[in-house]
Amino acid sequence: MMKELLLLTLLLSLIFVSGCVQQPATTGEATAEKQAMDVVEQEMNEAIENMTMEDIENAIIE
Amino acid sequence: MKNLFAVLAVLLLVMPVFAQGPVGNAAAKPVIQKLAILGKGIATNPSDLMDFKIIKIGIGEVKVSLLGEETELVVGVLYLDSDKYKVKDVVLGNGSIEANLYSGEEKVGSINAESVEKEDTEVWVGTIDVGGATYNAYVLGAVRKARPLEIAQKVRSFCEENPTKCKAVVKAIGNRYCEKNPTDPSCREKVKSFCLNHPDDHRCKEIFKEYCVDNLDDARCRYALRVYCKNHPNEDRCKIFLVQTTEKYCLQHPKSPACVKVAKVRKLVKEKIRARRLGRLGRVRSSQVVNPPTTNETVETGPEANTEINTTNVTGE
Repeated sequence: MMKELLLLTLLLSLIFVSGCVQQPATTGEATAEKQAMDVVEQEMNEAIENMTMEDIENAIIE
Repeated sequence: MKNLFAVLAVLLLVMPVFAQGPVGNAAAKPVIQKLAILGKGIATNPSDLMDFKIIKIGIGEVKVSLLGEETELVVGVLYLDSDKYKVKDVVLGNGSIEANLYSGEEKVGSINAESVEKEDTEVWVGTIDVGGATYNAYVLGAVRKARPLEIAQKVRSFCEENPTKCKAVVKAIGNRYCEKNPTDPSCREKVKSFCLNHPDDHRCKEIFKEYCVDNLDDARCRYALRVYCKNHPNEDRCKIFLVQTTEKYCLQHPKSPACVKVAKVRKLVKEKIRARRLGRLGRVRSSQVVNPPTTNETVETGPEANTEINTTNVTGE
């Protein structure tokens, strides 16, 4: 009985730990590049959202 | 047997903590160093009037921290209608951008554009080669104001490199020690903190504009100077702004009305631009920057290179 419990606990801990380990990205460079592009894209979307000539004009005049 | 269970229980609790890796690095967010271009426009195929696409583009220099290592990347994204491309291999110049376009990891085209100031608006004009076709592209630069934290960070780094030009802002923080020891790192932090809390303080704004004159490949700087120069067109830095942001376009289109105006101004500030470029190059060399500059500027040399820059407004003297 104890042996089975031990084996079960070992198996469960293995599953638990493997789920926690972050798989390293295929390449760090690719991850960094993706992060950088995501930030730039977010900035782009915010900046051009509802962009009109009037907005540009108002921003200059203010 | 009980001991074995106890060890396993402890392991179960402790392992996830180690499995997560260094906590600090995982949380580090990418930081924008420069925003070269943000805008929206139209790409037209000159051989087919009805073949046109809406452009959305963003290119910037971003500092990314990954597993404790910091990398600076100049990358971007380009949308042609709903097709998304990665922008890589970017070369930023004075009012110019060259880059390659990628779909996934495959290179599928390129973009080449020059900026020109038209009616207080930044317009990027160029070509996009993609899918075997060449499009003429016109992009209106979007408004992107510098945020208080960005202003504070830039002021801090400017003051680190140019302590003599920061006397006024150091005085503003009201610390006698810092007035006597402006190069002390703790004083630079106080300056940063002051400008973060008072982003509209004229001394912080002045330093930021001064930083911007040497960083016109940043859309936030171009915007700050565009607004300021509307009311101060005769200041040297405004003339430099006008000349630098249209440099490449005007080399290719010297007879366009915008460039005729620029040509007159160019004669007045040519030497000052040269001195600034040399000064900046000297600072880059002395700080032993690991990453090479992302600009393709050429530095002219000459006996006039040591010309003093008029910074009276900056220092408040």
